[in-house]
Amino acid sequence: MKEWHRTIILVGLILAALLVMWWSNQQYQTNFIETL
Amino acid sequence: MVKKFWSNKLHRRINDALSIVVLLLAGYLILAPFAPNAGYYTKQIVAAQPENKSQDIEAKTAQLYIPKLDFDQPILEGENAQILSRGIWRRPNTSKPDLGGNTVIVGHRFYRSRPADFYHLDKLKNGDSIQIDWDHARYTYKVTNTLVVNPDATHIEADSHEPMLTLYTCTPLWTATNRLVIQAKLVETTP
Repeated sequence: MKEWHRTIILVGLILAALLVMWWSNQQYQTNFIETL
Repeated sequence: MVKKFWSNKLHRRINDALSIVVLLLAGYLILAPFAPNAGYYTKQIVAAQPENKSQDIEAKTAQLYIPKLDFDQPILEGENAQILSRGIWRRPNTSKPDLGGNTVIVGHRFYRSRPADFYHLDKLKNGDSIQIDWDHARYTYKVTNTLVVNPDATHIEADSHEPMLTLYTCTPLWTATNRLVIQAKLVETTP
């Protein structure tokens, strides 16, 4: 595997992990006081 | 020469560093949900919690104390839910401990990807004690009911004939799908 391929995959995994953390937090905060 | 150095050595080192970052992030994502519980149970084993921590009633005019969880925080007052980012909040449309009825206090289960005030609320069981220091008096409640409701179940904030306390937060953990509700009845008032 070329080093550039490895770089792209690793950066993609990092971005995906950050996206999961952001999404989880965002979903929680927007829904917490929905109707109560 | 420069190109060869970049492609063969530096690039590989950068990729190695990125690999470590990926592993650390993966470890965090996998282990983070379990870390607070591990801390909670370790603390339970190492030191039994005192029954009555908030001794100074005079100094605390709006304080919620849950001995089982070693929880001791001021109750915030305000009209806007944004105040929840700073702590637990008494819902302004509900009663107060000294007025009887249903006093409702809410808090985040987690906030900004970290465990928050009511993270361990699910560990309360029937018979557990909850105390509120309010306006220079102490109100002691016993948990009578724990339930999970939909977010639109506004009846849990309805007023009651008997003085009671309702705490609620989000459940299941890390989601806002439902609300975990703790209901407790007043058993003692200490002036």
